Amino acid sequence: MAIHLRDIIDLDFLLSLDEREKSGSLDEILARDRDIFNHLDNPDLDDKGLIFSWLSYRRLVFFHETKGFSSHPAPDRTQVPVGYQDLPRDILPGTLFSNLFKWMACGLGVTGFVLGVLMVYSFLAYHGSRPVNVTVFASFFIIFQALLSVLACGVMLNRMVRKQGRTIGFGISFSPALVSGFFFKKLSGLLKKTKNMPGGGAMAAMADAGSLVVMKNREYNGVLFWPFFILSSFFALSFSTGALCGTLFRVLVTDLAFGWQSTLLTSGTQVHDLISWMAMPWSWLSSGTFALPSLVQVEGSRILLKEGILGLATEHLVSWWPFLCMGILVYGVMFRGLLVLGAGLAQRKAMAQFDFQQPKYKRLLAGMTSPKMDMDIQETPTSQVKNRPPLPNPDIPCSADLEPPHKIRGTVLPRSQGRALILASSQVYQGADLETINQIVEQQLGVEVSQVYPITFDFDADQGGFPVLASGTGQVIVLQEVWQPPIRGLLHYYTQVKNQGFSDTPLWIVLTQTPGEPVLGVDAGDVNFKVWKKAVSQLNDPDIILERLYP
Amino acid sequence: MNEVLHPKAVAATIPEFAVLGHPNEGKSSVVSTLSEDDQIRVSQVPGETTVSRTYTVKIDGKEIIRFVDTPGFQVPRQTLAWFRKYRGDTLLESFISTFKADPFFADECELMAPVARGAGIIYVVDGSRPVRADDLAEMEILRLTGRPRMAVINSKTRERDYTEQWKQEFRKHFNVIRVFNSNEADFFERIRMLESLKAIDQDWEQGIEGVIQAFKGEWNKRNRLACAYITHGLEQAVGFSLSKKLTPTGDPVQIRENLTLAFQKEIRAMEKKMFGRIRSLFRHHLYEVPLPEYSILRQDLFSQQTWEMLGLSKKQLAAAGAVVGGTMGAVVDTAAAGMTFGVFTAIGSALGAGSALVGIKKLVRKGSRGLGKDRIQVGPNENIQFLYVLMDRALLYYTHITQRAHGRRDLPGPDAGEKITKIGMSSQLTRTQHQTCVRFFKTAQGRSMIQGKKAAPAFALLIESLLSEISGSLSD
Repeated sequence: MAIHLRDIIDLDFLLSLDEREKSGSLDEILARDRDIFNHLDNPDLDDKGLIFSWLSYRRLVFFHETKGFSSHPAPDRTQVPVGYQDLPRDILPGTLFSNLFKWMACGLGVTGFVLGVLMVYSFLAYHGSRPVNVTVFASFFIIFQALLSVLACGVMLNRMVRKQGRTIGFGISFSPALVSGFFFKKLSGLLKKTKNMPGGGAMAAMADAGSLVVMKNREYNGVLFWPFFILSSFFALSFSTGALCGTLFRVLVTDLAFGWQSTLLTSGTQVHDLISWMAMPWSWLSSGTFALPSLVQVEGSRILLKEGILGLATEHLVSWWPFLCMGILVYGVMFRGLLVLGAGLAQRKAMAQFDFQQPKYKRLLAGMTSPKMDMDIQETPTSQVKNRPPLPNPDIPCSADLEPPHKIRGTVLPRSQGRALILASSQVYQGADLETINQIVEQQLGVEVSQVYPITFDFDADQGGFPVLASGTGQVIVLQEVWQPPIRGLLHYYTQVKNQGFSDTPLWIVLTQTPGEPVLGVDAGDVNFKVWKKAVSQLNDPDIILERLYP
Repeated sequence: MNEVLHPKAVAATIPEFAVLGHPNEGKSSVVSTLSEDDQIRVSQVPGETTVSRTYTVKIDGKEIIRFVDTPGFQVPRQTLAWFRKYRGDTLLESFISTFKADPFFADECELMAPVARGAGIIYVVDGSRPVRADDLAEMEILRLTGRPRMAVINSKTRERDYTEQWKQEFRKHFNVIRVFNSNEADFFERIRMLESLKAIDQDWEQGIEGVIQAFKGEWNKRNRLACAYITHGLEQAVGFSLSKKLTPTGDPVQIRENLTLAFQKEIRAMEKKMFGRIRSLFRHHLYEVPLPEYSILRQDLFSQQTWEMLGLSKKQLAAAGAVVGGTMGAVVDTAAAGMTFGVFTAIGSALGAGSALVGIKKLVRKGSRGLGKDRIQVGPNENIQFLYVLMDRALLYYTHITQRAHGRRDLPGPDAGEKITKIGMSSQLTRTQHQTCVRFFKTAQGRSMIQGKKAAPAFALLIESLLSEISGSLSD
């Protein structure tokens, strides 16, 4: 599977969209990734295959959603899928980078070629008085280009050997920073100035691609270097090609004379040795003389200004151009061409070796390959009763709080004078605890406990003794553990006791803690007490009075 | 591709459990733990649940188990009386059809409905209160339904404990009994409860085993994701830097101070984001999960206390630097920075908080670099202690989150009984593990002279093993 830099950039961009999302949408992101996996035709792909399948799907969705989104802004932003909010764009940064790269390559190619032609044209200006200086021409178009190529070759080899290492300068590689700085900052600035600004989406994509190149250079160092290396080499290649074409054109259509000169007393032999050495790559083609001026021709083309050129043979003066052309071809064009080719291969290798073991890819793969667990919540009402008496909520002010305080606050009531019957669960209230409670009740309510009658909270079972008890009783007090929720069955029992057992006597419900505990009284702020207050108030019976045993 | 099952077929094969009990016993807490959803309303006020709510757990859209949170019993004695009088084969169906329009039995109809359609029963009681007659009535009702059932004693508080009393009663009515603390129930308690449920009906054994495996798979997935988030977060923080252009009128010292503050703010934001991801992964959707009172995570990342309690000791720092330091000058710098802070740490308590602040700033300044004459840069922090402190905090947060029960009620204050979190796992790392950290640190900072491609995966593996270790210790 061939990986391109645009894929890496798009991948980074789309993953960073997920990264920007708030934690709350993590479930949504994981669900989406899992869904992508579930829709794959071949889920048995390797990690790289899975990541690129994810990328393909996300690209499709991105274009589908954001194109419509940018041309027809949706009234409801919540309908925009995860990651696409505030992204009115129709191009991904990787695609933009790829397009830009192509344009940059074309632009640099054309510019280099034209520059090469023009420079050669100016160098080869010959008006019959002074031949073209071979030394200067060769220095600039052959030797200098060869040195640059050697330098580039050194950088390339260093990159290939080191693979990943220390970055140049201040944590950012020089060439990517330079080129990206130009193309992603200067270029966008120029576009703004010339009013040729692409759409907002393209600008945003450009900014994203630029930030990836600059900010994440460290992370993508291995793959970002090569495109810019290729561009610079391609420019040099175009320049040399232009120079070669320009030279050939000049040779073809104009009369040129080449000569060499030197203030130092360099002999023709030394110059011939030098050019023989330079011509080694091609001179072997024709028994060592192909495109190589002979010693006689070299000596015959030496210019001495005081003697002028009239004495020089034309054959000698024109013998240089094949050498110069071959020099440009070999050291300028072919060397650079090989560098471009090599850099292309190195880029392909770097892309093939791209590290998909990074945490963000691991995270993506984990989300894709692991089943998604979620939960569906449904209310399933069975009862047809809509207005069921609600259970009390102590946080809501209840009517009980509006009642006169004596009904609920436990102050001594006028009609509480007299003998009191205590109804208490025999399972709960026994022995010393019951005695203690009785004493507290007597002090608190100002009554005299005449009898304690055991109850079971089952009215049918308990009611047998009520008629006898009812006579001569001033107050009826039921002891109730406060922590027990006032369920409907319990409240129903109290209503039955009041209405069917002691209809002429007030019924006091006195809340206590569970016998056996250190404190039997109930605090006024006890949440259970509040719940009971609310519940009893909802009975709407003034003769059923709630009280708590004071701590 | 997911196969589409007919709803009736699904209903026939998916284990379903109705969580029943008296009001305010912790039914919603149990459901919350089993379904792992902290958004289920858990209230201290009885009777909050009035309608049954079905929580269906799904894997890739396929339903695997259902839990039904039901209202509490309201009229158990009356219901029991009717049950006892009933003569027929369709007890529950008849009960519901008889009383579904009766407000008095409304709650009982609600809670019996899932049982009537075949759900198993999880009966929940509050272990901090004694057994009462209504409870006995409820147990008898459940026995009469004839459905498979398990009793859960919810030990909400430690002040009073009637667990033994409950167990004694339960032995008469239930074949499986579990004690459960909704404030402390974690993933492993969830698994243990499911293991117990397997025993209540052989027909469900296979289905529940599948659910257990799915939950374990989900747990592993979360750990892998948590590992990725932690590694990614640490990578970002360790490699982070800020720079600013110097202006002729700007005060370089002030700019550096501002940059340092901005640097710290950004790192805090990265950590917060990482924590948020972990919290969300483990399905704690509440905006802020309160940290234990004593937790070091309550301290600021750059505080003196944090740096004193987390990370490595002076000796360990020196050793960490020496792991790969023999051939690399950069590591010597790292070790030196670490030792500087180590010395600072040792004397920090004596010098007080003021010195601490200076020390931290110094530490951060260590990462400042001049970019030519017109830029000032702060970060990446070159002190490897920075990585260890961040790592320790992430692991502590993970520990806290994975321990936190989903059905936990808001407690009035710090829970003294909460499991003690580990502090400073990094100080317990082996030499090889330190080596992995150093390599990761250097690679994340972009100054690795060694092959860095394997550094992040190796560090991720280390984090994963540490998370597994924490998970393992939780399950003990």
